[in-house]
Amino acid sequence: MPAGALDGLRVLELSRGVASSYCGKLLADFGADVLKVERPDGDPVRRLGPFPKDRPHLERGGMFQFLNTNKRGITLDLRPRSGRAVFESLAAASDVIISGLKPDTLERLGLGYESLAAQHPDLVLTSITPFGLDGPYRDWQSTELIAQAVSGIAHLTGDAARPPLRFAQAQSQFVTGVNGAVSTLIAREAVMSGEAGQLVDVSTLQSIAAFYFNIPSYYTFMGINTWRGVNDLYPCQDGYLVAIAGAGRTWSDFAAFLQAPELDGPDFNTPSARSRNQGALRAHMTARLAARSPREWFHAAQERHFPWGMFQRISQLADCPQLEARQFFTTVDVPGFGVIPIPGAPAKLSETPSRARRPAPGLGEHNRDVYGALGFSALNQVRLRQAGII
Amino acid sequence: MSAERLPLAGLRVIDAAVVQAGPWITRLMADLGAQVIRVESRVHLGRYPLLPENRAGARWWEQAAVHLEQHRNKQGITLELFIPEGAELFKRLVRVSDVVVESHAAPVMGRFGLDYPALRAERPDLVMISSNGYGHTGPYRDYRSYGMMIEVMCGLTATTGYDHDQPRRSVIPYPDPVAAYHGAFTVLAALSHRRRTGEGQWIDLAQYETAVTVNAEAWLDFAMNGRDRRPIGNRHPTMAPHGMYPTHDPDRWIAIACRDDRDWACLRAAMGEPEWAADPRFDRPFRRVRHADMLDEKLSRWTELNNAGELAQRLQSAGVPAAPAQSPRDLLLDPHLAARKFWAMVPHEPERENVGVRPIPGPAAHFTRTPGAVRAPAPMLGQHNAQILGDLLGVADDELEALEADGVTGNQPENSAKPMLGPDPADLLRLGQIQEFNPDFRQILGIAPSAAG
Repeated sequence: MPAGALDGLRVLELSRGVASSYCGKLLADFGADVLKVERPDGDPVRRLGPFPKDRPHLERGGMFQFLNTNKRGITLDLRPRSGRAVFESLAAASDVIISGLKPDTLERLGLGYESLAAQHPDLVLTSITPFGLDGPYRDWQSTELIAQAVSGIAHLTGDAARPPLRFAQAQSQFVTGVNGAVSTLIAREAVMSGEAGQLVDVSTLQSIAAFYFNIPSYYTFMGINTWRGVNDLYPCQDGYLVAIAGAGRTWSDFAAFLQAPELDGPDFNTPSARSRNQGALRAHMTARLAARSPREWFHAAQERHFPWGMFQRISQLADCPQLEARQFFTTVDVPGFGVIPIPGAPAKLSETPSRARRPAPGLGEHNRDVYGALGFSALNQVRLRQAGII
Repeated sequence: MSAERLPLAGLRVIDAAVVQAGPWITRLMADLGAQVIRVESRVHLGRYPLLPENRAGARWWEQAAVHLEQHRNKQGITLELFIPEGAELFKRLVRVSDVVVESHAAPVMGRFGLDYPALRAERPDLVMISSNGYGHTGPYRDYRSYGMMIEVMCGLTATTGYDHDQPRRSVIPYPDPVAAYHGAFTVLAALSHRRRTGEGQWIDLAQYETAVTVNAEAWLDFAMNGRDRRPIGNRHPTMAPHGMYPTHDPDRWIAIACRDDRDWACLRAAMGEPEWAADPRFDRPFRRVRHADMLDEKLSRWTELNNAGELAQRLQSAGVPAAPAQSPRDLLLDPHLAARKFWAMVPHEPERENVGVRPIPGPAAHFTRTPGAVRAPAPMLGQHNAQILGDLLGVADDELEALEADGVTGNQPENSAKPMLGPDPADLLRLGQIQEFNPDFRQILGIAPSAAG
C-alpha cells in the first residue's frame, strides 16, 4: 500500500455534525490517524439520513458512513471529572484536535486551548463553529438553512421574484469542513518549522463570506447588489444545457456552431446588445437547442472547445464515462446493508493517493483498544461504561 | 501588526493559474505567509474588467477588482510561456520554488513544455497541482468549463429548486471555491509528505469531482435507495417550520428553522402564544411537516409585521434558529463580520486611478497566534520583474531589457486598448436585468470618494 501524505499525524476529532466530520475525513483519507470521540449517545450525524429503506439506524446512516471513513472511534462524556482526565491524556498524545463543539464548551470544561497548550505547546486546536469564537452572532443557533441565509448563499440562488432558495443539501457544512482541513495543515506547517501551535477559529460564515469571487466587488466597485435570478438553463430534448460563447471563441464562431446566422449581427454581437435583447436571444437559442439532446450538444460543443455544460441528475453520475474512466467512486460496506459506491478522493495525488483503510467506526468500536492502551484495566473500563462515561 | 512569523513563511509558490479556482488556492496560502509569485501573460491578459464605477482609466488593468481581491499578498511577474525564452525562465523559477499551481486546460502546459514531468526534471521534490474542470485523464480530459457548467453537470443544480421539476442554478461560481479549498488542502498535505520524505508529487484535481463530493448526501440516497433526489425548495423532511418568510420590508426575508418541539415551543412563546399555533395539527414535527403549507401561511402573516434583522435578533434570543437572508451588501455591512474585522479596508496606490480604499475579503479563518492579513495590495503588471527575474534568478539588467524588447516580459499589456465595458448599471436596472443599484454605495460603505470621483 502506498504511503499516505499525512501518515503519522495524530488527530483527535470531537465532532458534532457534518463540518467537523468532513474535516477529519479529509485528514484520515490521506493517512492521518484520526480518533473520533463521540458522546456516549453518538455523533448527531449518526441520526442524519439517508438510511437504507429510510429506516433510521445508528450504524447505517449514509452520511455517517461517508464522513467517517478511515477513522477509529471511541465514546467519551467530557462532562464528569474522570471524562475530562481521560480527554487530557488523549490530547497529550495528539498533534491536532478538531472540535465541532459550541464556542464556549471546551472552556467551560476547563479544556480550553490555553490550558491544554500549557502542557502541550505544539498543539493545534481547530475549532469549527457556525459563527466563530467571538462577535455578536457567536451564540446564535444555526442549521444549514440558517447558515445559507446569513452567509448569502440563499440570496444568490433561485428566482429574483421568489424567496431566497436553499442550495443543494449541506453545502455550507462541506465548505466549512474543507476550510477546517486547510487551516489545520497551515497551522501544522508552523509547528513543523519549530514554532508553537495555536487555536484556529474556523467558522461557516467566514468560510463562505471569503469565497465569493467578484460578487462583493460588483457592490464595492459599481454599487450593484447582485441578486439571484440567473436564467441560463436552456431546455432541450429531455434536459437542459448551459450554452455560452467564451473560451477564446468569438460570438461569430458561436452563432456558426449553433447554425443561427440570425444571431451574428448587431442585435446580439456585443455584451450590451445581448443584454438589451436578452429575451429575443433566449427565444432564438431555445429554438435552436431544442433540436438535439443535451448529450449530443455537449460533446459537439466541447469538440469545438465551447465550454458548455449539460444538466445531469444524480442518477446520471452513475453512468458518466469520465467518472468511470477515472475510477472516481470508491466503496464502503454499510453494516447490515452491503457495499455501496461513495465519492472517492477529491484529487489524485501521484505518490500518496487517498486510501481506503477501514470503514467508519461503530459506536465505541475502539474503546477497548484505546482505553486499554491508556492503562485502564478491563474492570475500570466496565466501571466507566456503567457510569455512562464511555 | 504582529511580528510573529506567519505559518507558511519561507514557502515559495508559483501561481501560473488562469481564471479563478487556481488563484484562489494561492490566495489562501499567501494570506498566511507563503511567498506567492503570480505569473501573468501580457498577451493573454486575464484581468476581468470589473472597474471602479464602471469606468476604464488609461491603465485600466491596474484597476480590475477581481485581480485586486484574488492576488493581494502576492508578487507579480510577466512571462510569455509560449515563447521558448519565457518557458526557460519559468523552469529556472521552478528550480528555486516549492509549489506550482496551474489551472490551464489539460494540454496547455505540455504544449509549453512545462508539464509535471518536465518541471520535475528541474526540481525533483516539486509539488505541482493541475486543477481544471474534468481532470487530466479520461474521455473529457480536454473539455473546457467554468464553475457554472460544473454546477450543472455535477448534480447540484438537479437538487436545487422551488419544486420537483424546475431545477435552479446559483449565481455563485460555487464549484470554483470548492475546488480551491480542496486544492489548497491537497497541496498542504503533499508538502507535509515532502517534509517527511523529501518526495514531491503531482496533484490532478477535477472540479467536477470535488463538486460531486460536496453533494455526497444526494449521491448516497441514490446509492442506497435508488432515489434520484429532486429539489424540495426550502422545506425539510423532518423540520417545520423551515423556510424563508416575508418581512415588513419588500424583498427582505427571514430564515426560520425549528429543529424540534422545543424550538417550536420557543417560537410560539416569542410570537406571544397565538391561538392558531396551538392547533393540534401543529403539535408534533411530523404533523407540522404534513401541514407545512398552512403553517407557513400562518407564520408569514406574523413575520411580515416585523423587520428581518430585529426579528432574527429576537428569535435568536429566544433560542430559535433564525437569520435574515443576507445579500452581498448586507455581508459588507454585517456587524458580526465587522466585529471580527473580516473585511480588509485596503488602500491602493494612486497609480490605480479611482480605486482608493475598497473593502476586500480577509483570510478565510482566524489564526489566533499568527493572524493572517491583507498585507499588500495585488501586484501591478510586471511589478516584481526586476526583483524576481533579476535578483532571485540572476538575470542581468541588459538581458532583462532584451527580454522585454522581445516581448517575453514587460509591464504593459500587448493590447492596452480600453476593454468593452458592461452597460451602465442604471440602464441595467431599467431593463430589469439587475434588481438593485445604489449610486451612493461609497457613502453606504463608508469609503471616501477617490480624488477623481
